[in-house]
Amino acid sequence: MVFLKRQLPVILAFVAGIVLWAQFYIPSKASQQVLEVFTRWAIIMSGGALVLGLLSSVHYHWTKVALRKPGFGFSIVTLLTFGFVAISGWFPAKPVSWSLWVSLVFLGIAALLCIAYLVRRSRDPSAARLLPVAGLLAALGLLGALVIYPMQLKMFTTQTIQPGSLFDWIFLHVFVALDATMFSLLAFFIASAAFRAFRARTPEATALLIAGCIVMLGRVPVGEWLGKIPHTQIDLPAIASWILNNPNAAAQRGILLGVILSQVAISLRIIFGIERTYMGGGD
Amino acid sequence: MVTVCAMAACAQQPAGPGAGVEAAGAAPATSPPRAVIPAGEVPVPHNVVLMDRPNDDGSAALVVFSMAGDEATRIGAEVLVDGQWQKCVLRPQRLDVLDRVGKSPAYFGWSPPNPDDRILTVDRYLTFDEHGELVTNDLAAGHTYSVRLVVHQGAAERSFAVGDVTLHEDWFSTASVNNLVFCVVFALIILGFILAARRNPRLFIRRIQGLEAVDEAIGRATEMGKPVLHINGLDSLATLSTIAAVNILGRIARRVANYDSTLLVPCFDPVVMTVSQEVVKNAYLEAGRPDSYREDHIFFLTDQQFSYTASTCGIMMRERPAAIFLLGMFYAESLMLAETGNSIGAIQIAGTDAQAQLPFFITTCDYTLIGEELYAASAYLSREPMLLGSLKGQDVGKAFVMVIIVVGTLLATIGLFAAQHGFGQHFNWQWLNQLITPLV
Repeated sequence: MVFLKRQLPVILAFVAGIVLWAQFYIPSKASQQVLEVFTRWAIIMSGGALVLGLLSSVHYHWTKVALRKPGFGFSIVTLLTFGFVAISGWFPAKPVSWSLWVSLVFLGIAALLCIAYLVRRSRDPSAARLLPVAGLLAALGLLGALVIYPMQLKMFTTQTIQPGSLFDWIFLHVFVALDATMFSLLAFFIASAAFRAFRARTPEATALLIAGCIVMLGRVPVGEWLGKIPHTQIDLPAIASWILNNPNAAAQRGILLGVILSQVAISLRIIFGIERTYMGGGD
Repeated sequence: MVTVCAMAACAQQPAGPGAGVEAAGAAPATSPPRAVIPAGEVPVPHNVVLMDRPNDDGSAALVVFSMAGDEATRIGAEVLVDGQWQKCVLRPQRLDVLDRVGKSPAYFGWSPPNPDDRILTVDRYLTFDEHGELVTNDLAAGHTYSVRLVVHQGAAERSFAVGDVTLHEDWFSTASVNNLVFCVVFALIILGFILAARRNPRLFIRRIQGLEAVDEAIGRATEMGKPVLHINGLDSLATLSTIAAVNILGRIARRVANYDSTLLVPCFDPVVMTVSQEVVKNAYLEAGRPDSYREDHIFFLTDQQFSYTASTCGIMMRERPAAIFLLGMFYAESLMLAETGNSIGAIQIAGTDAQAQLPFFITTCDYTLIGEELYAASAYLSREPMLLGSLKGQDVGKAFVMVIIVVGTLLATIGLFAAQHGFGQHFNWQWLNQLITPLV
């Protein structure tokens, strides 16, 4: 057991590390096939681990709902969305029809009734009356979505997701929009972080402030316009480029060199089994 | 096998309908007749060399040539297969976008005699199957192919036989010798220091503020009765920075277990989650507190970047961790995570080798492990002599690179000075150029 848990992983890490290190220097077909095999193994393992990940995610949210932890309502929404999107993936090809929309409305009302029950049940015992209605609507919704709709459109095909399908609609009109919304928040975070970084409290922060202002002005049209004012002769774009290409690039290369050497060192530590923390082995 | 061909001698008139010095393809009946360009106006390639591509799996040949041409000049190649010339590319390439010999040191070394010569790679040919569909066929190692260049100038084209080449599979990439030498020397230095550290464990390692603060951050979380949040970055376990982050997680988990605090690890990758669970479980075991370990505190959220960010920010706002560790590879979400952590007043220790994200962490977090410090963290926190030895070896490697940079800069400066002041007229500075080019 100790061999399987401690020594075998180290041996495997050593063999895989040496083989892939040597592979880098061997351009032959056989060498490339070895790399391909290792890459495929990694993909297969990722696929297997994804199931574990999904189970973990569902378990996490289910536990939050079951224990009524703060914010458990979000977990209910997550679980419902998870189930709904997973089901929508079964219908990859055809556009949505009236039966699916009716089913979705039934399921949505049922979900809202369930949430209302969970929220009110501690204060109002009569909230339990909501459950039979929710159950009936959910049953009708599931019947429509999983039986009538597929039968109507002869679905359950093995083809990939097609444009116009329900899954595609959710992806384009819900996921992409929410993703873009989160990303756009970055602008406000940058503004607040820049305000904090540019407070000239120390000589270093002052240098950063000046350099930052020059680079910002040099990268926008007004910076170019400033250079065209008679008697100013300030070429801000050129100064900004110089800051980026010289001191900035020099510092970045210094960091990069350190990172690369560190990566070689950590690779050696892993290959030779000196570093074993990542496999839960401690020192 | 290398074939050198004098083009003047082997220029061919193209065979087959539609090809040749006349315009290829049929012109519409209503359009004026296409001008016939005399053969002499198609540029002729010179110094043509056909060679097996070095350092490869025997799947390509190179045609190296020099040729005068303009933006209308396009080059294609054809391979003789079963008695028929087959095109290697659907559309001929512009002469001015073809690679230059001087830009390909892996094939021709750092100082080739004719750096401006062009290279055309021949690695496949096109045929049609029985349904009329275009099929791409790869060249195979061990086979001999006849190759000819097809030069297009406007509507005119002309082909030039180049010769035959036999493709060979290489079992060692000579272009990577410098990499191998550096790798072996660096590995020996590190292994040497590791062995030295076994004999003399009292190695001096400079203080890293961010790592010194780990105990303080976990202690603060324990005193406040709040959890510690650890994020392993947003990359898979195939990335070294993620492995480094998981290594640090093991050290942090042991301290958290000792303090009997709570550790939350929301994961972006299911494999990282599985490994993290094992690492934390073992840390709790080694700390003598296996009963305190909660598997559901290390959980998978999602593998979508901003969904993960939204979820993790939500966890921060609800759970209010007192210490947050942001270690590993981060992308655009770095600032969102760090700003949210900052807004709840947590002690934040970040570490990444993503250069673009470092300014965000430095601005927002209390301590930032910059680049290599992330990789040194595990060794630093463990104080294990053998791991510390590797850090010393790493520093020697860095000193070596610094020396190379200084020497390269000096040589380049001397070369520039000499060129500016005309010393090149009296001395041959080519040796200096050859010396510094591989260095810089």
